[in-house]
Amino acid sequence: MKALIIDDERLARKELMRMLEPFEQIEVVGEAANADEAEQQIAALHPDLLFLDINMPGRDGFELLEALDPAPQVVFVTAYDEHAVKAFEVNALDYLLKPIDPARLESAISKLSHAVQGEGKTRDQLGPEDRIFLKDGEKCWFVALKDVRLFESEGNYVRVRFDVNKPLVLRSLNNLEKKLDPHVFFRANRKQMINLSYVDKIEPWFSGGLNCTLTTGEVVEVSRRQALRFKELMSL
Amino acid sequence: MAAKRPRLLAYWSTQVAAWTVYMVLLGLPAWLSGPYRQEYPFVLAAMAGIGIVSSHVFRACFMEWGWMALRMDRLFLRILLGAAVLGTVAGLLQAGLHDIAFPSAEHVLGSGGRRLLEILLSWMLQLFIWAVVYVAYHYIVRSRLEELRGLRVETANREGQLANLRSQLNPHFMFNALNSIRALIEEDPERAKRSITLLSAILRNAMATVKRTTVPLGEEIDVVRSYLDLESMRYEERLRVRFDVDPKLEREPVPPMMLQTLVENAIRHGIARQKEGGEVSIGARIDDRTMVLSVRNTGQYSKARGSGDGIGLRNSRQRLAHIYGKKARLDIRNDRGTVLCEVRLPFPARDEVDNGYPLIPEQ
Repeated sequence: MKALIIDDERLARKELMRMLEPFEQIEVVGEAANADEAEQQIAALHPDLLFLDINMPGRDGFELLEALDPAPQVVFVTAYDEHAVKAFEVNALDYLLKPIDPARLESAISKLSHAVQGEGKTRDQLGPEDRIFLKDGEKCWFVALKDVRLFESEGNYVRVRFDVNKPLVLRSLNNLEKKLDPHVFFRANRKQMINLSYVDKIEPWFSGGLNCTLTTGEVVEVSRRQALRFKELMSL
Repeated sequence: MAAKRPRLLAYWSTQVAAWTVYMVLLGLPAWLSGPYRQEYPFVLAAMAGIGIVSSHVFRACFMEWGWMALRMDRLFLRILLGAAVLGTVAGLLQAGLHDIAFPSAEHVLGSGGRRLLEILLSWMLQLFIWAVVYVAYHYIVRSRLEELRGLRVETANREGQLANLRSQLNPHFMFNALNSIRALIEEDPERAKRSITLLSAILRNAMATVKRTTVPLGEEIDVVRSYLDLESMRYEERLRVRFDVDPKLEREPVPPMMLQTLVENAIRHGIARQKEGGEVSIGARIDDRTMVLSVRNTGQYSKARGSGDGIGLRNSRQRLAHIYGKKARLDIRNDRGTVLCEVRLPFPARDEVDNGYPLIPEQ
């Protein structure tokens, strides 16, 4: 697995790199001192795994992740940050505390999924297995797109509905639409985008529109303009 | 008041027992020397009764007029007066009873003179002694209670100090420093050793600080230097430091860890947030009759953003108010592209500190 170490301290990066030496399955391909550098490195190197410090100058680790679609696998590394640790514990994300305990590092690495991302694969479009990172207040999630049934625009934010969760994140529905596979996610109307695998029932609605019921019971109206495209997609 | 009933019971049983025992002892010589007389138990009960009633009235005076709250000399005067008045009443009562109960014997009231005076004086003395015992008892109880309250206050203080210590041992700093030291052990063992020494100095100082209200500025500056040395290990070229301390102020007392807290704030909210890092300058100067401690850092201060810095500043302000009352203040503001935090302390401090807070408390 190709890994990228992101930490604003040179010594901390160096120490982690040294600690990773015994793990043959982990190949450290680069390091970054802040979110901007990290983004460039990620675009250039396509790492499968990030060791990510939360507290960094400029954008912090969470903000970096929110900008990444899809999010690679992540092991958080932090010295002491009550809020972050709480977020990790709530959602069982893996994190390491500095100074890093070698045993903890080993267990974190053994838990990583070994699905290696394709070499040089273009990452313009996200597949259903791809995960995105969402953070709302103190909670954060890595969620696979196949688990998201509905995106709803609320002003400058998008509400993401999956399971019982519905975090509100700062994204735009239009940008999301461009990145998502149109055969999976369908823009039902100006404000909503649905995961087609969650569609349960479709009924004709006024003035050429459609009323679409999801398996969870939520009802989404498909606008007249989109209804034609919808019929095309569903008939395939 | 749940405690009242058992206390009242204790009072009455003590009264009855003490007066009875006292009267028995008083009558013992006469009893032993002569033949037993039938009226002895009656005399004993009467005498004890007079003692109990008169001293109870005395107690009522104490309580009704709040004598226990008085100063020692005033209390003494009232005890003398009370013993005189009540002693007279009690004495007359005894004499009267004597005359009624033993009509055949020599009349005390009718005959006047020496015998009556003796009785009156002895009652005055007895009641005076009773009052002294009463007062002594209450002083002991009160001092116990005060001791207890003192202990409670001390416990509260300790807890406050502990909370203070915990906040001073900024965990983010500690763990990052330890992490860096671990990296240094291979890269530069000499520096790793030096860093451990610095970290120990900071820890030791934080522990010692708990006991002291103020420390000489020079000492505080040393701690700040150790702290900045360690932070330089983390931030490397991103952190630049400048000191501008008036050497005359080296021995001036300042609240411990205050400058340190402000410098930590400057790093955490100033330097750590800038990719290029920045400069922290620490200053101490005299300005008229105030000593100005200043911490300036690259960056921008905004109230809304500070989640952590709010606590640091608030704690510092509280501590200043605690030690100096209204004579010290802490200001933070943006100043020509930097954040400037200034603490103004009265100078010279020695005679300005509020009473009750020793500048350099005895260890």
